[in-house]
Amino acid sequence: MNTQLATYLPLAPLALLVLGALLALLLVPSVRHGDPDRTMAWHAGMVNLSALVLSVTLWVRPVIGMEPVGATGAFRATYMGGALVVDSLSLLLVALASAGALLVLPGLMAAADRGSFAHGELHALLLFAVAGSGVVASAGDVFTGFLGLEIVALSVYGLVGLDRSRPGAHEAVLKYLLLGAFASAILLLGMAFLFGATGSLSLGRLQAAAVHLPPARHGLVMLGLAAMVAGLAFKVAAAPFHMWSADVYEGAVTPLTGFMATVVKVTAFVFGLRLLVAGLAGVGTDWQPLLAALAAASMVVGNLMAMNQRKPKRMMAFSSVVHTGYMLVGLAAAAGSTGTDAVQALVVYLVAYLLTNLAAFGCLDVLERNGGLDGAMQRNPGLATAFVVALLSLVGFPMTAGFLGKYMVFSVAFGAGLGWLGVLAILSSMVSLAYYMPLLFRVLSGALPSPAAPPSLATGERVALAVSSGLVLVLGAGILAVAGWMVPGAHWVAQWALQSGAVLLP
Amino acid sequence: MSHVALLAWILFAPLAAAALNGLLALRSARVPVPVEGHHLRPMDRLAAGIGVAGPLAAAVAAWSLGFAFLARDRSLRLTELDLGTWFSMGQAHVTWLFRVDPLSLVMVLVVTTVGTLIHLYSVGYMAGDAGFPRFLTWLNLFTFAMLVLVTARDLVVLFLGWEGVGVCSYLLIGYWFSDAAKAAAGLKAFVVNRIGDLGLLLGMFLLFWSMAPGGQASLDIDLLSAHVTKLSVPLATAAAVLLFVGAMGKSAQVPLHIWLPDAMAGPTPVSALIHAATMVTAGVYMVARMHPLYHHAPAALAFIGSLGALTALVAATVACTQTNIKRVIAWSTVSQLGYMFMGLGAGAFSAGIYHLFTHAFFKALFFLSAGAVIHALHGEEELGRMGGLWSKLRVTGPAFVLAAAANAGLPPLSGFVSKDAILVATWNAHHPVWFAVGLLTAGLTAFYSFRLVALVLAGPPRDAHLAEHAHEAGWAMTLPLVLLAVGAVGAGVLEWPHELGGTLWFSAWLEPVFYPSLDHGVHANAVVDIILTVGSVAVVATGAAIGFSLHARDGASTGAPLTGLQGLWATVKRGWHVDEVLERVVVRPVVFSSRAAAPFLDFLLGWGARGFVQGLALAGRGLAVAQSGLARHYAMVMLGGLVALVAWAVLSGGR
Repeated sequence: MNTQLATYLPLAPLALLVLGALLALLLVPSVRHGDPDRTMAWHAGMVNLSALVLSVTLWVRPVIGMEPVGATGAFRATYMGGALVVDSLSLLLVALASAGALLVLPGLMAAADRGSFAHGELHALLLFAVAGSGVVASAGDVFTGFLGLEIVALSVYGLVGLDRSRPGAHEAVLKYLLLGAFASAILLLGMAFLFGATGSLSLGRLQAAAVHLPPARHGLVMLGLAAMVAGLAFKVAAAPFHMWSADVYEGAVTPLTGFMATVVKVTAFVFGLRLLVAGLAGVGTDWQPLLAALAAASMVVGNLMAMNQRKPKRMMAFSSVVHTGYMLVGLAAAAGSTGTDAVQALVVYLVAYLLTNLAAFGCLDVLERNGGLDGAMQRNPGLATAFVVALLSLVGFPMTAGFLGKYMVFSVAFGAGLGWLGVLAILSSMVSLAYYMPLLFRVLSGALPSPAAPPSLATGERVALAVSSGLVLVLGAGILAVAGWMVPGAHWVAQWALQSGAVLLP
Repeated sequence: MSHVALLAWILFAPLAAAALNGLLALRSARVPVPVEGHHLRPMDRLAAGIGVAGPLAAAVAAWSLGFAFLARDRSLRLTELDLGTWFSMGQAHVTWLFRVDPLSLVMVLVVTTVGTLIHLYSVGYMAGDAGFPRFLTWLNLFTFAMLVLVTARDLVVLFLGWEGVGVCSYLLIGYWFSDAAKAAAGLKAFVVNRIGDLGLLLGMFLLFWSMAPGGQASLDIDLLSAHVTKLSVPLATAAAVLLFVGAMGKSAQVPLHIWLPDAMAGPTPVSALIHAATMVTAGVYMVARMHPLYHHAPAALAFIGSLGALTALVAATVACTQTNIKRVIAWSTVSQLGYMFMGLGAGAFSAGIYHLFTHAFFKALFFLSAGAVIHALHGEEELGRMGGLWSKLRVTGPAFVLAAAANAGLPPLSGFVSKDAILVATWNAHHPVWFAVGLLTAGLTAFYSFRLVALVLAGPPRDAHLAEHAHEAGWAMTLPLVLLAVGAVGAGVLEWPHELGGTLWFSAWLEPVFYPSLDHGVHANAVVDIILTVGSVAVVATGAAIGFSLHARDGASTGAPLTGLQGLWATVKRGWHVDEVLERVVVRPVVFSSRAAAPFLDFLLGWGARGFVQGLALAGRGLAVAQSGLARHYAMVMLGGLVALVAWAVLSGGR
């Protein structure tokens, strides 16, 4: 292959996602033969699977054009004058987003079968959302990141409103759209301030410009920063920018809620990492209290609201606000430390959170269709076990991914001098038991509803739930060598997270 | 078998049993339950076999390991099982390293030996229950978690066991989940233990980060112990106290003791296993395990001893007034745990652990024989309907008396030896107040133990009909009683005092563990020791005689023995109202704030939004603007947040 061309190989996962999404648009009206739904599902599945495999392959075996960064094995390749970057962190996000899409796909298809909406549009929009995630992942420029975030947001608006028969879907999509537009405007405003102060939106140049900033411009940078943090806080549903999430999560079909709570949130966090840790590292740690305040507010408000929800899905919506709080603790700690520890901890948390919530929302979806949570362990042990694993991971029980993430994040919070936030986070995770444990009790020993019908569960859903909850355990148990049999999942994630930290720091 | 293999058997036999029983539990849900009586389905028989075999295999392995250790030189009594890295990120590096040394082995022996007997007993006790295999699954899983706790070499792995036993115990307390009282008891245990866990976690993080500057950022217990003297004393004290807060929750020390009496709502074998012999002693074990840290922080040790003494006394007084058979024993357990902590506080680590060891036998016996009484009376737990059962229960009766006598500390039973060791240690460590409190508690303990014996077994029956139909249980329940009685009587041999011609085998066994710590010179003066022992025996005997004679009379009531005491009696009976006070100060605010704060928060946020939008006109109907559902309100709250962020940025950043 031409070496000139070969240097573009690292962009392959992103290109694949974008082309796959565009192709899906062409396929939707043109596939008439056979089973169009099936064709589209295969298309979406294969595109996501290839993107996942490609990004993991590139991480394991970097190709020409990917320059090593530091001694951790991290690497980076830049394109279009630095507007696009492919490094360890972007490959990780592409892998997470496409894996997330793969894991919600069976549930979404089942929802489409039950509801009255078209499969084709569903798959096209989902692919666009993942492609948008890929753009955010590769953002070397604040504007590229914004573009990616908007692609994700617009696709998800479409997805939420797809099921027109669903009560509440209209309301949800309208609310989401209006408030999302408001948040995007704030984000743009912040970008304008930032551009005005530094004359650049490139993350690499921001880093340099922030160091040599004239004192007079400092205020302008802080103003831009505050506005951008507010915009991102909406995207990740941090209090007090969280209020849309409960209504929108409830209005959407549950697998889609899972997608929003995981892939969309994680995407916004990766952008936050790039903007705050890499781009504005030169501004110093001025923005640490800002994030700490948002983290504290999210944990307190999320917990208080979650405790009072009757519907498990609304409870999960507020619980994910609490988890946003924990992730913000990690982000705030990353602001205060110079090493890679805090970024590594946050990235591990993101992975753990994504897997756990995909399992949790997936199980919730299937369980609520099949006679509710009560006594599920006796009716459908496999499914209930997956849900128990997800719940324990949400709680942060040792041996699950959730424990690992929490342990790491809380630990770096103490290390970064945010002891009060660490204490609050531990308290918050203690309090959170008050709303997770009742679900656990209901699943394990609740009374059986009288007609115990056999569950209706597609094979794809089975596989997705087994994979997500299994990975939660693999990540939680770490490298467990039993009789020579090794499960190195946690080690890989730790390594990848470490390299993600290395590419961000100057 | 190699020592490592024995350790693997100890850990994984109960886990395998839990897994197999879990599978059976899932299958048996589809098999119909016998309508009447205590019959085992074929599947239940299999579950019973597996459920007892798991801990039994672990017990056999544990005793083999013990004898293998005895044959070895003292310094070589150590076995480690390394299962690789759990996680390694940044500075945090945690390995799956399980270790048995003399201290861990004592705990392992208690958990597996007493555990096996309780498993066997519960086969008889729970027979005929619809969820029989499920019950055994959780009991096996509990045993595994407890074994992880006592063999972990890293505090993070210990925490895994710590939380594991917690979860299993909530599941077992709330076993019959339809019952609201049991669910509430489970919740209470839950809330109180969270407070303890908060302390434990903070202590762990504090230790981790305070060791970091020396390059020892690890929670490996051995590494911590080796380097703990590098910490400044205030820092070590803070960490030690925080860890002890965790122990207070798990081991039910004042004021975090309130959950334990309520946890008696669970099945009796659960009370015996979890709330007497094993889980509640985890705090005592943890403090003993971290002895170099506590040795380095004398103030923390003094705090532990004082709180232990307070707990011992308070709980003993409450135990005197209870009218429910299980609650008497539960309060007694709280009191005895306080005793153990008092021993640790005096620096007598091996005496504290020895009391833990003997207590496991006699308190399990106490609970199980009480369970057999309840079983005989078809579920009756109130003392007011018992009495006159001695002639009916030929096995349970003597077992109950032996348990009470050991609990009271009557010589030559095991309780006497271990209690005496703690009392002598407090005196020799120059803590006369603790000694006095210990002596008073010993008297009270003898009083309520024999009050219980008199009310249950002696005199004429208070309920003739119940007593008429009382019957002894089957061999699965009586055999554990007999075996535990042997332990409760005989365990005293291991530490029989020098002055009475014995050998201190138990302390010699633990010496390699506690050697660097304060355990020396405890037996300072043989004459003083004998005087102290004779004095405490006299107090105990008097207490026992009063307790028995006051309540063995015809028509003895379960209330205050003297009419003048009734007011005080009522106060003490309510646990000195600690429960109510704490309920108001701790538990209720947690529940209440969640209920109250949500509408309040919504109100606050919603009201703020409306204030912007429509002014004061709407304030009148601004009540209960819960998550109002209106996009413009949400937008207004967002705007408020933005304004706050920007204001902050301008104020702090625009220097």
